[in-house]
Amino acid sequence: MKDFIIRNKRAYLLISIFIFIIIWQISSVIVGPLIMPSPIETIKTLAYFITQPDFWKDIAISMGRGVLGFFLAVLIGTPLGFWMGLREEIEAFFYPFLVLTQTTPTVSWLILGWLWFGTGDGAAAIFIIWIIVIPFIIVNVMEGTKQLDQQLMEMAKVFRMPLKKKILHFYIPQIFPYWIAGCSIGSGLTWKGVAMAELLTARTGIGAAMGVARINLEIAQVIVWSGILVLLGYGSSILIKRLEVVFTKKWR
Amino acid sequence: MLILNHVTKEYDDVMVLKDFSFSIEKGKIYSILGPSGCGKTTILRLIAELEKPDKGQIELRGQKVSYVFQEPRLLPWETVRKNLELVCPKKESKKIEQLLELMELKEYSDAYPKELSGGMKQRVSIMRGFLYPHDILLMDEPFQALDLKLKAKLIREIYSLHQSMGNTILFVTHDLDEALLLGDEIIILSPKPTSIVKRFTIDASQKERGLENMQSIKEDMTKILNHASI
Ligand SMILES: Nc1ncnc2c1ncn2[C@@H]1O[C@H](COP(=O)(O)OP(=O)(O)O)[C@@H](O)[C@H]1O
Ligand SMILES: [Mg+2]
Repeated sequence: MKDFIIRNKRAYLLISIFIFIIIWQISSVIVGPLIMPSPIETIKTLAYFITQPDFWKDIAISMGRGVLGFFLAVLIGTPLGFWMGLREEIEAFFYPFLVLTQTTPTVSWLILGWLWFGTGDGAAAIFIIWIIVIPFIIVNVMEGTKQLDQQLMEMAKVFRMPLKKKILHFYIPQIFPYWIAGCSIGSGLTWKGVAMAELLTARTGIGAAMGVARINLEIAQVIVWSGILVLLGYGSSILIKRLEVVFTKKWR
Repeated sequence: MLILNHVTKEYDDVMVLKDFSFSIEKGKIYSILGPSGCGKTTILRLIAELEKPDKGQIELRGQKVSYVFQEPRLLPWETVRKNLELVCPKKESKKIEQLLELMELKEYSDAYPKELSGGMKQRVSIMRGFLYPHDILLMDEPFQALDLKLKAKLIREIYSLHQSMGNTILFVTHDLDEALLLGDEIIILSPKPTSIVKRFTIDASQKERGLENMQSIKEDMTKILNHASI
């Protein structure tokens, strides 16, 4: 019975994708291939792209920027969120920064990043990803730190746990679920943000390539690039899910 | 030796301790009896430096404190053995094995706390209290979730561990028999703001002869306890 349902689930997934392609094909016929290239045409574009070194270079560059911006956000956001969760005065001190990063629209960071860092080597894109992702890391880690089991923390205090033991056996197991949730949101935003940032502020990378495709009205190329971004987003969400499963099994 | 020196402790508007002093001697077991909510846990928390007194001093004179909490407080993501190892500054595998045997938990050393019953968790917590190097051991109603037979056994084991270690034990309970079986001295507290109503000394010969020979003390205490909780 269960086997049947699982196979059924996969069938529905395939049917869904099939219907999507059909609708795509039909709309391409109706509005014309210039506005909506057909699936076949798009695949042809992709097939051409993968023979081009520049295609892979752009992906590598965007991935590098995305990963760097994301990791810098995690690297700074994690200890900052932890510290803010531990001490109210630290939270109060960084609260304006947090609200600012949370509420400023992405378009403002795009323009500011462009003005501050220029259209050079992608520093603007890295900055934009960093500032989009960091509030989610901070808020989640801070929340996790506030939710620490006080009875266990008292136990750690009574038995004079050295810092290393406290981090490994008290803090990480308790804060990890919150941290990984923040990373999950952050990674989604990273791949959406990276192309947007590059479109305006870079001459290389997926976003810049999409900008060129836009000017040349190469809609098939835009679709191919979008597909690449979807894969990056989906891939990293699966990676994070794996991480979550492995470690929650360990700490539950 | 004074340990609480004219201590006052208030929570919000509740006065729990008012000018409370308490002295102990090194190497003895003190059973602390008192009505629920009178401040027994508060006294232990003050000694463990988990609370600060509003007035007065806690005088530990460099003595290290270990604690068996009212709740087991085990790390759910660590095994029984790991929970015990964590409080040991050095490797103590031999001692841990011995204690596990003593507490009838040998088969459970690799189990996680959620696989244990309430009484088993409580026993792990008692072991942890003894393993952590200390001069004073605080125990807050440690036998709560245990059946009578096991409780009697544990009391004997704790007594012999105490004799080989020479530690001072402050043992909070609301069970008169427990208090008599384990304590060298029984301290009876009044409702809050609490004060010491009476201290009874139980000498070793009395203890050896067992509960049946402590009937008269028990009657005295029951009277005082009944009076105190009114
Ligand atoms: N953190 C706290 N905040 C407010 N009141 C408290 C707190 N801890 C204890 N109390 C109050 O102090 C009194 C003594 O508590 P406690 O020491 O736990 O009593 P016991 O252990 O003797 O039952 C109780 O009336 C309790 O309600
Ligand atoms: Mg209590």
